[in-house]
Amino acid sequence: MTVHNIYIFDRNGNCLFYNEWNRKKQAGISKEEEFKLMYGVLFSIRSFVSKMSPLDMKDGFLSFQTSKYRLHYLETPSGLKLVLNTDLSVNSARETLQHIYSNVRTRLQPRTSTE
Amino acid sequence: MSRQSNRTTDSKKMNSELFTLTYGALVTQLCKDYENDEEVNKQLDKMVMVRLCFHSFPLLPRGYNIGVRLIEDFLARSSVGRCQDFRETADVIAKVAFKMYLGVTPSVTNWSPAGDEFSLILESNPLADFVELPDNHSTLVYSNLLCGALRGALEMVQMAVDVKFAQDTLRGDGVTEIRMKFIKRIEENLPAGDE
Repeated sequence: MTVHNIYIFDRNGNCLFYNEWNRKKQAGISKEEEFKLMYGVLFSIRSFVSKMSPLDMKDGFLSFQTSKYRLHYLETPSGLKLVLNTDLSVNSARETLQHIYSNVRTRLQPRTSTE
Repeated sequence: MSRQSNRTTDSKKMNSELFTLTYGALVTQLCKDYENDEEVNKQLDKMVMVRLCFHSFPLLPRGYNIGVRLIEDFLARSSVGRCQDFRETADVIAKVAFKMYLGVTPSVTNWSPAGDEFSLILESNPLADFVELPDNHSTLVYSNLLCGALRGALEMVQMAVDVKFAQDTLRGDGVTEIRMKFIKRIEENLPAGDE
């Protein structure tokens, strides 16, 4: 099991936290652009998923996978977004992300204000 | 109070009398600072965190209301997900949020026919223990801070609501009643500049 990287965004799309481990290939763009791109993709997938959903959805989209990695996503009702990229051996990181939110969040809090 | 960087999410018990008295001191100070009750009500409604240090929150430079911060704490501690409708929201506020932060569970009643308005009836109001309003503060809404906190918290979960005290035992009513009205869902927009 490998965790490649983690992003935490506030409700306005600012990246509050980023870290990476064992990420062998970089995106080839600046981190700032990468954050923007990531947030944009999340936003689009979310809106796509909710439009296509045959039933009223509650949590929205949870993850997607490619042949090499899986992206896990948790969005809190307050709009904080947590993204975790892992290899394919990790089936669900939902509990982990919830745990991160519950336990690490307080240290981020002063920076999550929208003022 | 200094900022603690090693805060945990454990709910710490706090002496309710200390809490009540701290709040009392706060309102008293506001009454001294501002000329009339209307202004004090307004200040309580948008209350800045800096003055209210009972919950080990970080000190903030500018006025930011309690609810805006409290919601994050609430969501993380309670693991409550997004509510499907306003009725569920009402239940969560009464049974989870009030219980968690004030130790009381108000009852949810008086739904409007359209289901967009309801009342929280507080049997006892921890903020108002030992409190008597002097005659010259007849228009003071003593616990108006609760309205601001509810409004701020719900705004952060994309819900615009109107909150006000309909009845208050401090003003001679039989019960304390907070009236909440749903106004609209706040749509989230993609921040400008992100394509």
